[in-house]
Order: sequence, then structure tokens, then C-alpha cells
Amino acid sequence: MNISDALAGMPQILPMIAVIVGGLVTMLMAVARSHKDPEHGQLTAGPFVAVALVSLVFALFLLTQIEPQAKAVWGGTLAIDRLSLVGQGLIVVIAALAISMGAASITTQGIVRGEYFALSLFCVSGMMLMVAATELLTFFVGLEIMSLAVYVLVGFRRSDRRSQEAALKYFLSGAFASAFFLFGAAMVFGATGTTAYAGISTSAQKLLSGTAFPMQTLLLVGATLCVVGFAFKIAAVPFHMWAPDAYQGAPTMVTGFMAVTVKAAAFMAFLRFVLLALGDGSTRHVPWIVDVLSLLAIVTMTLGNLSAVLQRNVKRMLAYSSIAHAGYLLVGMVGALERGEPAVQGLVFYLFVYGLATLGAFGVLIALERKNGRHDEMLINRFAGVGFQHPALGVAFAVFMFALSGIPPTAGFTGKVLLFGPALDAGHIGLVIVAVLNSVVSVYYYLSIVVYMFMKNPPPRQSTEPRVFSPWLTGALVVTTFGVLIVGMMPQRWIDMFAKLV
Amino acid sequence: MSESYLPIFILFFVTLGIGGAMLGLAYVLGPRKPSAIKEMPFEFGSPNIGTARERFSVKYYVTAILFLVFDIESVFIYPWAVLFRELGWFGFVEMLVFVAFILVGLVYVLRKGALEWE
Repeated sequence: MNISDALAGMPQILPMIAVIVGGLVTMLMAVARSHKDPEHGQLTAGPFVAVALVSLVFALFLLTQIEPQAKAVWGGTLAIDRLSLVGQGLIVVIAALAISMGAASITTQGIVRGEYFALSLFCVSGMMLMVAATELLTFFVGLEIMSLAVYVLVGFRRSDRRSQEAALKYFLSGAFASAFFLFGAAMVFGATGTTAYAGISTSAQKLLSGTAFPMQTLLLVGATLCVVGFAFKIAAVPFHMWAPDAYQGAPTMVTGFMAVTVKAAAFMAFLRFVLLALGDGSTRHVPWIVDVLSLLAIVTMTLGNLSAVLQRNVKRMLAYSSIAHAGYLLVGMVGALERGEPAVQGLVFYLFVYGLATLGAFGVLIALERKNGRHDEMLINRFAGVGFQHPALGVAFAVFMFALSGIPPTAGFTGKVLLFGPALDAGHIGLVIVAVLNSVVSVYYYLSIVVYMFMKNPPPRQSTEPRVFSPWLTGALVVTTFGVLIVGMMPQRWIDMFAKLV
Repeated sequence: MSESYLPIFILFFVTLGIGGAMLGLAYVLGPRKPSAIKEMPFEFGSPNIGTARERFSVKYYVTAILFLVFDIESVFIYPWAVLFRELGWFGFVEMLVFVAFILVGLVYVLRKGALEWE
């Protein structure tokens, strides 16, 4: 590649560069401030949020300026098609909301550090690269940029043992997942001689139609290991072990961020890998992929939901809920393999809805955390009577819970219809029945929190610790609540928008 | 296609053979006059008996990590310098960007006080 090619390709990666520059600026701001002012408590989140939001909004603007292209750019490593642009946009929007929510927590939790913003922005740039990558190594670089930042974020509450434990567990299992993926990628490369998805696809077609023993086996084992790596990142059962501990131990602002953006990025990258490298409905090279995904989906949904029912800690419950949602999304992926384009739209739509609702739920948890409440356990009886003390928060939380369980008129219902529809059309009736039954189970634990909020009396002894009002958090909660409701009540406009975009 | 992996396979056995031969021959041919001092595990010459739960200074760890970062930087710069002419302006700008990233990291590390050995 020479310099003129690089300059010509620059606009396509400019959104990522904008986010990285935002990250570098906040990183330097973090040290510039800490030296002027030894009293860490005095650090205000405002300037950091402003820089982070400016870089994210600018990245979003740049994304809207890019013309989608059918062919991969940058020497076949990056896709600038509609899925890539919408995926990057989705991640940027959700990350902007998550960072605004984090701004409140960063003052209430006594962890006033500018590095939170720098790491979040680096993480977002890695996710954008993951979503756009059409080649195994480019994807891997994006995955590591994202993962390394998230490991640190999970352990951000350094003095808290739970946070340390969560970070270590997440790091070790994440490193395992990376190793699985890399080993698989090496095998795929050995069998096909290329790391580009398109090349793998053509080569796989040739290899699997013949009976060349060693290479065919190498390809299938390699592809399986890659799928395992992806399954770790989306927290699909049986590769979900890290999720509950990491979600519970991480600071709530980080849990919300990783539950949504990490999952969305990994899912869209997974989708691209499966569709492009392993073959879609018409050109399916790897014959077992649909069966494997269906099985993963059933196990993930069922185990995620049944475990969530048993939880008393709300953060842990939401962690299992996010595992269950990975299962629903896998149903959508089966549909995407069978039906192509419309199912991909449904999947992205559901990721958007899931993102808004989950982020909103964690936002309410942040709002309920007490100042310096380092060991705030977020047990379900903490929620008794919250609906009367803080009606707005209670109603917002109820809306998010309805959305996550898929009850109209929230967007969760529309999302589930679009997600399960293509799989049903393709004849996977058993799979969809399991998914719907699971949604029924999930209603129990989602609504039990709402029952606590509105139908139980608050405990007599109340903490007098004041809750910190944050305009950033309030704004983000308003956006997510109305987002879930408006998308749910007028779905057609949004579906059309996604249909046009994806 | 699988024939192309044959050299790697051969290399594997050659490596195994050389390593095994070195250790095995030394064991068979070497004279041995054991004494108490010789039987002690050798590390780097200093007495090596002490508690196994010795604590290392965390500062040392930070310095080692930082050293690694800048070591990697030089590892990248060497091959780049060799290929400087072929890479042309593109390579030059790429390296500038890379060094700029490391520079921001250095400023961060300095301001954070990670290099102060107190």
C-alpha cells in the first residue's frame, strides 16, 4: 500500500480515528488534572464527558457521511457496507449513553478517574474495528483493543475485592477465549491459505466438496475453535461462566457498558464471520453450523433464564438475563443464516432494543446507588418501595423490564417478533417454541423486581445518605426510556429505517 | 498441500533430537563428582535459601511493564529502519503515528509519576 491509497481510504476509518483521538485527549486530561489538584475528589466529570461525547458525536456524523461499498476496502480487511456502518453507529450511540451514565457513577462511587473515559473510548474504537473487520487478524486486533480496555474497566474499583476478583476472572477466561480463537484462526489459515473471510469461503467450498482428509478436518476444527472464541465473548452457554461474576463485581457503570456494547460488537462480528466465511443459506459450506447454533441457542436461553430466576442480587440477575438474551440473538442468527437480509435487519434491530433497555436498567441501578456505597449489594429487597420514593425511576425501570421480557407496547415485543420470525419461516418451529417459552419464564424474574418496587413497603430504616443528582445520568435515562417506548409504539418507522440502512 | 508441512514436521523432530542428544550425552559421558554445594539448585550465584513467600516490590513490576512497552517499540523500529526506502512515505507516516502514540503514553506515565522510584 502506498500513501495515495492510504489517503484515499482515510475517510472510511476516520470515525475510528475520531474516537481514538478522543481517548488520547481524555487520557492526557486525566494526568493534567491530577497534578494540578491532588484532591481527587474535586475532579469533575463534566469536561471529560464533554470531550468523550464530542468525539462520539463527531464519529457518528462521519459515519453518516460514508457511502456504503459492496467491496471490502483497505486491502480486503475492512467492510464498509451498510451492516458495518449501522453496527458502528449503534455502538457509538449506545456507548455515548453508557458514558453519560458513567459520569454520574464516577462521582458517587468515589472512583474519580479520567481514565474511565479514555478506556471506554479506546474500547469503542476496538469494537468499531471488530464490526467492520472482514479478515480474521483484523478482527482479532479489534477484539484485543476492546478486551484489554474492558478488563481494566471491570477492575476499576481497585479497593473493592469483588471488583478485583471480577477483573481477574474476566481476564483469565477472556485470555482463554482469545487463545481459542487464535488457534482456530491459525488452523483455518493453514487449511485455506488465507485469513480473509471471502477467501476462506471459496477455499472452504472447494475443500469440503472433495474428500481431502487432512485439510478438511483442519478447516472444520479451526472453524469450530473460532466459533468457541466468539461464543465466549457473547457469553453463550457453556462458555458463560465468567459473565455473572464479572457483571456483579464490576462497577455498575461498567457492567451496563459491557453488557450492551461488548455483546453487540461481538455479535455483529460473529454474524459477519458466519455469513461470509462459513456460508449463508444458499452457499452453506459448513453443514453443521445451523445445528450447532440452534443447540447453543436452546441451551443458552434455558440455562440463562432458569439461573436468573434463582438470583437475589439484581446485578447478577441482569447478568443471567443478558446470557438469556444471547440465546435469543442466536435464534435470530439461525434465521439470518437461513433467510439472509431481512433476518439480519431483525437481529440488528433487536440488538438496538436490547441495548436501550439493558443500559436503562443499569442506569436506574446507578441512580439508586448511594454515595460512596462501595459495598452496595443491590439485593432485591433493596428495591422494596422504591417505586413510591422515586416514582420516575420506578416507572422507567418497569418500562425496561417490560421491554426485556418482550411485552407490548414496548420495543422488546417488536424486537422479538422480528428476531424470531425468520427462524419460524425457515421451519425451525421447535427452536422458536423454546424461545417463546423462555420469554415466558423471564417475565417472572423481570416483574418480581417491579413487584418489589411497587407492591412492598420500604424498610423502616432508611439511609440518610443523599443521592447525587447528575444531569448526564438523567438525560441518558430519559433518552433510553422514551427510546424503548417510542420504538415500541411506532415500530414501522424504525423498522423501515433499519431496513433502509442495513 | 499437506506435503508443504513436511519440513515443519522434520524440523520438529530435528529440534527434539538435538535437545535430547545434548542432555542425554552430557548425562552419559560427563564425569560426575557430586558434592553438597554442587547439588544445590543454581540460580545466579547468590545464596538461594530463604522464604518462598518473599515479596517483590510492586514498583519493580511497573518498571518492568513499562520497559516492555518501549522495548516493543524498538523491536518495531529496527525492521522498519531496514526497509525504510522500500516503505517510502507511507512507512514514514505510519511510524510517526506509532511513535506519537507511544509518546502520549510516555507523557501519561511521566505525569502519573510511575517512573519515580520512591
